[in-house]
Amino acid sequence: MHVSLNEFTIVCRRALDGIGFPPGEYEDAADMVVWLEQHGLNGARLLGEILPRLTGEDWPALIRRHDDGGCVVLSIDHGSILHGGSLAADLACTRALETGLGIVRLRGCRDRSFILGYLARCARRGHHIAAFWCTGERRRAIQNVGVALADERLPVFRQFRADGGGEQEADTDTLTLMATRDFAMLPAAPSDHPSIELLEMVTADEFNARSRRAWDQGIEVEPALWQQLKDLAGRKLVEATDASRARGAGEGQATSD
Amino acid sequence: MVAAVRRTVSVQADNPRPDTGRVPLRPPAEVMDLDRLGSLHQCRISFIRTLMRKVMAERWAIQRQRFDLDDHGYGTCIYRIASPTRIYNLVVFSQYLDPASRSDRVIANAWDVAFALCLGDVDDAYLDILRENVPRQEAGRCDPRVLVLSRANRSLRNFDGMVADLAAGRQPDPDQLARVGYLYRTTAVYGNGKFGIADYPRIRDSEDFGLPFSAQMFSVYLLRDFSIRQVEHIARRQAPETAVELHPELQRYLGIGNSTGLGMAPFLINHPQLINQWLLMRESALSRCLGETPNQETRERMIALIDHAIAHDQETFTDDARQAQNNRRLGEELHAARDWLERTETPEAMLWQALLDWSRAHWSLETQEMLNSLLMELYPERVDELEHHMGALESQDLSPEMGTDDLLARLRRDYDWALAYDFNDPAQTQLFWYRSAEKEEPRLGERGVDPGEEREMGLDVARQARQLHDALIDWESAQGGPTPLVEFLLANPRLKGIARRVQTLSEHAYGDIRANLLMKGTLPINLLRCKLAFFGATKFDPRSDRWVRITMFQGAPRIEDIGQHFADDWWMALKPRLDEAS
Repeated sequence: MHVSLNEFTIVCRRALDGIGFPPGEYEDAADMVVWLEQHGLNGARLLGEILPRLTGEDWPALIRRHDDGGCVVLSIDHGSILHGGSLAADLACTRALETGLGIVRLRGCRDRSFILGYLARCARRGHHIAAFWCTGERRRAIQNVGVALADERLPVFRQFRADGGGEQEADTDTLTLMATRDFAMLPAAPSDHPSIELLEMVTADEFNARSRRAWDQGIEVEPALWQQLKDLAGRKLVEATDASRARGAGEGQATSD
Repeated sequence: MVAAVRRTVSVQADNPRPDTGRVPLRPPAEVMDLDRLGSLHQCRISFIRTLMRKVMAERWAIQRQRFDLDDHGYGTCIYRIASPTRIYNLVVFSQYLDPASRSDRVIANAWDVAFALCLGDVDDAYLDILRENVPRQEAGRCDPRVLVLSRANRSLRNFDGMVADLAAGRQPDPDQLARVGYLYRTTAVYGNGKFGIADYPRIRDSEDFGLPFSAQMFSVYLLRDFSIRQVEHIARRQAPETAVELHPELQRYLGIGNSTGLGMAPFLINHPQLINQWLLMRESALSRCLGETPNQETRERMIALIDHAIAHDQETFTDDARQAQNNRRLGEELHAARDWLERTETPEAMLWQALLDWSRAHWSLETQEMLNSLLMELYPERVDELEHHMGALESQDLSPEMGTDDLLARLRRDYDWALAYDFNDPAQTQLFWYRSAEKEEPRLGERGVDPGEEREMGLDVARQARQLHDALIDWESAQGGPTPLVEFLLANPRLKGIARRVQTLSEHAYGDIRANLLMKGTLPINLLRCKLAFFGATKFDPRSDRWVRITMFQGAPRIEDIGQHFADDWWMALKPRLDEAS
């Protein structure tokens, strides 16, 4: 079905609120989903795939495994990046301001592609930040890199397949975030290296064009997903009674004159 | 864990702070007081004032391209609008409404008219799609060609009577139109992507409807013309031999009504940066005007405006006892203001500031804010340019590096009003806001009495500020000192929303309404009036403490007047005297 971006944003926020995401987090998580959809990276479909898990799990704890000031390792116990994972990016940015470079590794993290939406917000606040994660088979993983430069509205996204000879196993459940005061430190992998195959690259210009299209034309969402989201949002609605109908919204003089 | 970092990213408004000259802006503690916000009147930069200036200056061409109504006024009407840059069409569907179904509540499912403002021309195929969906409003689906979706109900007090008068060859009684100055009341005017229509960013950069709510206001303006042509049409069909057209002065005196309930309240809490922008521009306009030095002519013009406001107040009616008392007091105090202006020996250079100070000390909030609105009328060259800066992007970003001590200091500085409430007192949390399953209508419940408090909406800014404050103190105590905020939030994720709000709004001083909305005795109607005043509403007619009727566009030029001289003095229209106007 056809919906507007604003409608999709509102229903996502209310659905995540209905699931139990705390204030501040349900907005951030929803905005990350919408960002992916708005920029042509299937945020709605991905959300649909993980909704059963999100609705069935408690909010996982972010546990600090290591912290030496510049490098922090957190674990999220196989929770979703939508479960407050944006704070990991905020932590990386904070450490970068303190020490010049902030690295945060978020272990046991699912749904990591949603972080792309948050990179843009970090950049808007004046941070250079990159996110890196591997997906697919551990021996022939796809490497995903999002890079956002300070004060740029949009990041650049690349997907590579690196030939590791089938011997190195990729870490497919960690998200690595690197923030820096020096933009030149951010990764700029050459796409013509013989052992690297560039699978996809989305430039800021392309993201911008996709975003413009979404604002102009709206987006398509599966009716079943839409209904699921409405149902979840409905968890925060209160059944009407005669009393609430009259008193709750304002008894008063006749409405029909 | 590393120490707090002192750098914070400054949150900039979209627009630079306007120069206000020698007079400082009024403090947020004064401006954002809920009772004061509930006493605002329209002013030069209210949206319908801005809209009319634009339409008149640019000479928008508006044609009734299709007017297919039956004897009862039911059918389809299409207005074609040519702005300097684009073509739009407003499509109106008028239909029979069972009297039992007529309700101004958002939970209604049928209306006398439903209409949509569309980008571009509307062919027959698209008209069929609109006909299928627009009359169903929330139950239909539209597409991004639709910019605005709305509906309205007839005012039974006026509609049939006016048809009868015109059919009989009489003009309606202006006294009755002074009491109820419209034939239709809108009950919701949807924009920004609702039910599949265009997202606001689609038109945000457009020259025509880039300013907030301008497309919605324009749609309502055209409905006013439809209402006039419809009663004339029905009268002609009823009595072709005797029917007359509505007198042009009465056409101008007819506005459009609106019923607004609690649905508007969350908007003001959830769009603090936009609200800040509106208030910042209004206060900037006021400061600029206060800094002007009047001469004899401007002083006399101010007195004339006060006389006009007194006359308008005398033609403002409401059954609501509180508002009626406010109106009476407004009239009395405006007389006193007139006398003060005539007698004062205050030096000219300080006159307006002295008037403001005197009104603060002696008169009601309604009077103070009316005088402020009138003052802005004197200096359009200092005020009107601010209308271009009424928009704002709503984006609250966290500054995770901010020290918890810095955030605490901001809380104590900017949210002292919130920290002053004692939330151990049950009266401070007696109310709770919730969304009903009926069309998600926001409602207000009494804690411990009404069901639903476990699903409470997050409009409790004051209480959340208190929770954040107490948690930060506990945190610093446990950590032995301040830390970066992100460390605090990793341990307290439930406070992320309010922490970010405090950070953001400490740079937007007029963003938060300074009231505990859970407190016993809170008057939600004050929230509604604030927003409606920015729309340009007049004749506030509360029907309870939770919903209100207002009038818009009363006195505005007709579409036939576009291209004629425009004095921009139509607001606060007075009842026409037809013998003189003829």
